[in-house]
Amino acid sequence: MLEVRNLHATVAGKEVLRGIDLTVRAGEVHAIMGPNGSGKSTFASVLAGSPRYEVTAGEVTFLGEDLLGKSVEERAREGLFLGFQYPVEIPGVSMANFMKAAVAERRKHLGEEPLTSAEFLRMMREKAAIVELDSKLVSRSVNEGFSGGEKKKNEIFQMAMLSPKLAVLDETDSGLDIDALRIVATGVEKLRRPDNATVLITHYQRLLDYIVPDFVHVLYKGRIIYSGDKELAVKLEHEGYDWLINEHQ
Amino acid sequence: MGQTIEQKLSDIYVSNLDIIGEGFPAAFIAPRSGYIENFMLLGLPSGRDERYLHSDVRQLFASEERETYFTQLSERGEFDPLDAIEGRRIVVENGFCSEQMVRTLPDGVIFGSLRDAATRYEELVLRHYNAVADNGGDALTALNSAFMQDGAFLYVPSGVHAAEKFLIDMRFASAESAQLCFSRMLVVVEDGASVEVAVIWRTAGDTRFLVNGVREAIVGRDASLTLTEVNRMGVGSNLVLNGYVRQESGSRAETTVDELGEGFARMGYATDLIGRDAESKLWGLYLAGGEEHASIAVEVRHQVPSCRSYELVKGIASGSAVGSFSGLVYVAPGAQQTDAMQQNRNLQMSDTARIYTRPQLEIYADDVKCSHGSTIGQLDDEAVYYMRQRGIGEAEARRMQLFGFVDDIISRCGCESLCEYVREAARDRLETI
Repeated sequence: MLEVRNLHATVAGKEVLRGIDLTVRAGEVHAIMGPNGSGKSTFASVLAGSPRYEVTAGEVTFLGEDLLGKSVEERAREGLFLGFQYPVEIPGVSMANFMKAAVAERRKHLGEEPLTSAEFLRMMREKAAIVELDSKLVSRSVNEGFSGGEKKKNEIFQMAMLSPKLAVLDETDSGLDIDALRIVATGVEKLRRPDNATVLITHYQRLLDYIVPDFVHVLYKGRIIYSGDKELAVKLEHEGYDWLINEHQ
Repeated sequence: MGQTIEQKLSDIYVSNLDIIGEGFPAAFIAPRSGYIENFMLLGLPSGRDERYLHSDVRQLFASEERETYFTQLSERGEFDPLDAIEGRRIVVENGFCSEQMVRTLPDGVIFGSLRDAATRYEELVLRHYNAVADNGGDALTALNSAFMQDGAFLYVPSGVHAAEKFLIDMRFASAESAQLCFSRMLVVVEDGASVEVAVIWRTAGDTRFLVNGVREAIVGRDASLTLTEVNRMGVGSNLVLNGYVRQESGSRAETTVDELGEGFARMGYATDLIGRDAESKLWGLYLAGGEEHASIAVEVRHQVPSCRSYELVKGIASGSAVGSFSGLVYVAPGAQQTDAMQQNRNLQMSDTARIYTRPQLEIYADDVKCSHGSTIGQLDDEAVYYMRQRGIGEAEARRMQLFGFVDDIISRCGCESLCEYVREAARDRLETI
């Protein structure tokens, strides 16, 4: 589904990704961990096509096609979803209108008929229930006045609405209390299917108590320095990153 | 030669004295010479005048539009009948009420031609007409009072909650290439009465219009006025409006103004709160692109204690357009427990667009709550990126954000059919911005 080969990227002339290799197949869940500043969020943003970063080398194929030549919206329409670490508030744009436009684009891309208003509203209700998102929030402006936890639930709600092929969730667990974390994690689990895949970017192991990854990767200084299975996350939680970093250097 | 613009306008007045007051009782004609004297004394305001901040009205009156004026609608332009908008119509063409008569509804509401009302209900109209317009301090108001020949009149008697809404359709069409028009409105809502009024300004054809508009609204004790004003005048139009509202105790006035014109517009709203517990709200929007000029000036005077006033005006300027907001909240000595809030928010869409904003407070009482503020910003690129990541194209993401910014104001419109009309108009305008 996703093939990343030797990916290099810079921001303001500084190299922040220095040769990432990663393969994600349908049905898999990957966790990317690493200390602060290792390039985890950058990697997510580069996959999404953030204009802030410049890709200087490497290639990425998504569903068999070159990803890097495509615009942010094309990538999204093809089924790449980024759960934002800091979801953006958009005053004056209601969640309903926002999702209506987004779902319409995704369906158009898939060659599906547009939803009727009734179908769309039913879908909104069903998907909001997955993450226990208060239906009142859905009638408000995008993320405006949402609490930290509600913003993160809202990301998973949008993911449910768009049913992406690949979801990259950037620190979706940060800033969540234990209940919100459980709800978000359960939401992600419910959305798991054999034909989609998830990349969890996380600083802590605790999210992985709820979502069991097939692979755990450690990113350090813009490179994946170690990959393992779910046991690696547990070991990192207990022993920190130092042993790996020392081994790497 | 060497004649000032003021002198030229005064000469036009003198040489047309016989026509100007035609159809009005003597009591409406006699004061006019005083108004033209006021006009001469005050002189046309410059762009530095705070009430006309950055709106060079002098320049407008120096142009050729003034050569032709007081012509009734000679060219019946193509105007959309606005069937979707509910309400009784008062159609005013080039400043003249097309029905030339006033009518009385079963609930006692009187509406129609101001000139006809002045004859049939002389005492009633005299009691309110020019009661709140600032003929002594504002040159353009004085000029309008001298020149006006007709206009719209709406009267809601005590205790009557008008069963119907009213739409004052301010139309302009002419076979001339340029024309000066004077538009006048008088709205009286007596004690305990209420009414909803919409005013739509629009043009047909490519005549360059210079419109000097004045509206007086008197809102009695515990009365309520909901006013929605929309400017949709076309390219080459120039509108200078002075709206005055006087509110007595316990009254409410809520004004929404959507300045969507494609020419030059300076729309002024002055409110005098003269009775306790009066409440004034104003929601304003201006959209200006290309070479357009859009300006909203708001002045609220808290003359007595315990009144509330809120204003939120939003603007977008693109191209090399000018958007301007000038606001003043005045709190008179002794007007304690005043609660006033004034906000102006702007989006500047290009490097060459200009936005001027000037929120001001003038407070002579010490137990008041007053706040004011203004912002000028750009579209949020992070929000555009966020929307694109959900599959929404860049242009559409920007449009949705812009529309979100303006719909906050539009949705305050008096009624849904009107909101829909304004939304459509704003959508059109945003396409070109």
